[in-house]
Amino acid sequence: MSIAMERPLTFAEKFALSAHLITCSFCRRCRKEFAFLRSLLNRCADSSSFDSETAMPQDVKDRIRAKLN
Amino acid sequence: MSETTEYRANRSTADAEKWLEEHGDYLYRYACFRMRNAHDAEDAVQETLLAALRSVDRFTGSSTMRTWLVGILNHKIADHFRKTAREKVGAEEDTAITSVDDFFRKDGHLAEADTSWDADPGEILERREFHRQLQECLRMLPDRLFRIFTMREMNNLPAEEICRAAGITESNLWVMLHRSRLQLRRCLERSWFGKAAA
Repeated sequence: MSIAMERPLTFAEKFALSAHLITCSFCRRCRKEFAFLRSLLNRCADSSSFDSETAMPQDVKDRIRAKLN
Repeated sequence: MSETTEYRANRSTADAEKWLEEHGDYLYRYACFRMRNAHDAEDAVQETLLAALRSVDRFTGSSTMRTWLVGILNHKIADHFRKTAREKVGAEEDTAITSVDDFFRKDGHLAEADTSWDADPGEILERREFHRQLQECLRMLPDRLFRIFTMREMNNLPAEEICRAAGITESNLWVMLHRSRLQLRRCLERSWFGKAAA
């Protein structure tokens, strides 16, 4: 399932995966959840929820500000 | 320096200071999370703002300023990964995570509870508690696995490039990505989706 997320499968691989997925509901669910995880991580950086209490230390800000000038 | 050029330079510097004030903390937090090292994160944010200052003319306004800056920061994080991916490969990296077999029962099926993941990725990410839990689960991945996994899934670096930078084969990469997905899935299952279903 993971390889299928990285490259096109060969005919034999596709057949073997499909045959397994027909009979295995757990793996069908897992495949959906892997896709869900990929979608989550793709959007993660832009999520406003990355805000938290941690702030950049003031001395680091001052150092960067000096570099920008 | 002509008057116009000087005016532009002053304006750009003022812009960069404003970006630092408005987005510096966010960029820093994101870089700390991705790089797992405050010193590297500081350097990456500084390089990001300097790069933004140099290329501000290319900012079209089609995205928000924060999105644009995070895009530049992601490039800086990828550059750092390319330079350091072969470093710090310790024996603990391969043993810190459980074997893939540990995720399966004896009959070959995944050993997980029947929980529902019916959620919209965009919506659920806006829930602060979920985002925190996702970060916690990602933090549990060993360093090298985390960096390779996030380069693939968050930076969308091509597999060949990751393999080249990290000095691993494609087969190794697939195993590492699969292990990471299984571990992340298990962690979220137990800490979030399983609880939500209970």
